[in-house]
Amino acid sequence: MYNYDSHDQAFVEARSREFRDQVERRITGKLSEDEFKPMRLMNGVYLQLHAYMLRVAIPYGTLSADQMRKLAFLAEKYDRGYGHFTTRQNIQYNWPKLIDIPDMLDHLAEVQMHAIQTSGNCIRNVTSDPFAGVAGDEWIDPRPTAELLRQWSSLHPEFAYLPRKFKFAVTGAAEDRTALKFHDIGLKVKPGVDDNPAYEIWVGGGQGRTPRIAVLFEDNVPLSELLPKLDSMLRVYNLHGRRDNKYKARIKILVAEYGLENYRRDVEEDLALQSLEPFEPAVAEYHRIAKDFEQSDLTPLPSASNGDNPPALASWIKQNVTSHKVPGYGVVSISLKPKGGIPGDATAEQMYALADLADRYSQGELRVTHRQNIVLPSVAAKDFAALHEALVKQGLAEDNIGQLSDIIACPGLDYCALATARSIPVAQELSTQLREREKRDDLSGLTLNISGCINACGHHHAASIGILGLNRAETESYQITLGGSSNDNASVGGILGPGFAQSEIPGAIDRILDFYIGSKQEGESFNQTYRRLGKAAFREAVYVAA
Amino acid sequence: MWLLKKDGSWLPIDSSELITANRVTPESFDGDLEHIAQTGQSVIISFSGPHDGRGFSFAKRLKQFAPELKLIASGGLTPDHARLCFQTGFDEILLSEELVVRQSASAWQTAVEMSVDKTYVEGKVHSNIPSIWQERALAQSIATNE
Ligand code: SF4
Repeated sequence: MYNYDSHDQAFVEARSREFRDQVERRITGKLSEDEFKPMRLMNGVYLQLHAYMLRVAIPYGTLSADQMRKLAFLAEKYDRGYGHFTTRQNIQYNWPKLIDIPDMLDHLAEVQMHAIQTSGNCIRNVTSDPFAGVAGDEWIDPRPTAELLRQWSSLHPEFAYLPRKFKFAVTGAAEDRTALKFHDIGLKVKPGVDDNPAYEIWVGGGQGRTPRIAVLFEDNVPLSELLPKLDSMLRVYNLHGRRDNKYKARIKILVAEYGLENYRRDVEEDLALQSLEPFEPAVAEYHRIAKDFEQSDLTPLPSASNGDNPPALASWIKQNVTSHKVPGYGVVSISLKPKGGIPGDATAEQMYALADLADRYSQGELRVTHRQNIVLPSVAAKDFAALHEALVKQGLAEDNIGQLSDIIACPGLDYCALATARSIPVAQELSTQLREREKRDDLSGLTLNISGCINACGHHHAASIGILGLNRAETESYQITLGGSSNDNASVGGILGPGFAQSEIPGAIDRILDFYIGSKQEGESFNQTYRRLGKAAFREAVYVAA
Repeated sequence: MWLLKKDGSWLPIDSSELITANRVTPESFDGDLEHIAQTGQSVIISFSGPHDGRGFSFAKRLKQFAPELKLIASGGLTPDHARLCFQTGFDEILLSEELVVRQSASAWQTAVEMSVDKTYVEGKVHSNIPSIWQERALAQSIATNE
């Protein structure tokens, strides 16, 4: 893991002091609410429906056990005993008091954490592959690049007030586990020359009201040119992105309306003017950072036999453990989607337990996934049984990773001031229903994502089955989309038809699944069946059969 | 009106003293940097409000194109914008009496020494302290030479 040096530490402590001062100036009226709002947002503080919410950055989803303990402590001391892990690998606290937030930031700084740029119209927390460094299909570890981007973008003087929020994802593996093509900029890291990486830069992806899949901006960009190029890409966006309509302000709209070729030309023209001096240390910085991520030597172990395992353990291993690049180890995903539970929520007690388990079984390291689960990246196969037993005691042994019941859901109308409908109760009811159904049908590989409004934080566009909560004539109405995907062949789900009342959703989902299972050909995925048969066939099965 | 300078000094100013400055808004900029550079020694770049960051990128580009130009920021800024202004190429910030009184003169006077005074890429505003990355590179080269 990356370890802060004295500069990093001084930086987060200074930011914490700065925010304390901003809060004081707001309280004494020196700053108006209009002036203060972007400052608090840039530090992850939202005003939600019932209280302030603090979003804490978990850069590229990587956490140490001590950091997880600190998150548990914050949940216990300043919240109501739980936290919510988000689709951008962050954690949110829903009930802190504004006056306590500077203290929370001081606590975070003690363990090399912060809330810098977790919201606001700036460059947000950089996300990455939760299996980084341990995945067998990895070309190159994306975390040094993600950390380099974190440093470059942190309190960047030019990009604090962009037209809209700006999201980066970085991956270095064959399988995309980051929803890369739904980001403003996605970077694919590949081996370059002289031990330096090179990059594919994808631009203009995003969800929200106008979902777009990113397009390739440039291939094979050497490390030494990466940051000047990104600086120019952001500068052109900052100058020309639309500010008259927040729904048209993301870079995806600029690229679509202005045209990729024009955008590229403007970036090149800007680049020609740029002074490269500030970026000169970047290559050395990358290698300094990369040293911290070199895998501590894991000794290959003989693979443990799972033949005699009790069924619950065997099923959990089959579903939740992915192969590790070092023989004898596994990458263990811990589901935060218990039957009937709230997706992504963990209690303080569970967070403390996860920290202890990371220390005992996974070199003190954890990851957060964009599907709102937790990963222990390096667990010896001989420890699977003991780990599983400990997880059962904490209610964390759900064996549904990659199943349909591994639902993504945003907080929706239970917390979010922007929501048009509730997401959490829909997810809770469906997870109960789907866990039962998974006992008889193979629903692995399908995804179900729920958003409480068109902002699409619950990634509904990118799911095999997406649910979008809307408000129609003062009642909640849920629109279903089918055929979305966030992997390398990213696609945006298509709207199936008129919306459903909340009580009608379970029946509609059942009919979709009945039709898929009854119609699929050997080895066919849900999206393949959907594309082969077309929307009309599914529509008929869902609406006519109702 | 008041002018806050990059070195932290602070002086009252009569608006007539700025009569020769070229005034531009980033939103009406047509891309012709050369034209702006030729029309005067000083350019006042107006921010449309505290949420609109176009002025920072505009200043950065203009300063790179014509380093000799004096760039002055104006608009509804707060002391927290001062670091951003000076690190992106502005030389001065023009402030109304209202901004100074409400946000407090002391906050403006210490604006360039706010808690975060340098970043990974940009150094301190009014001293020669380099960026964090440059400091690390310097420390590394000293360590290598020793
Ligand atoms: S999708 Fe809408 S309701 Fe859900 S968290 Fe985002 S803004 Fe809130």
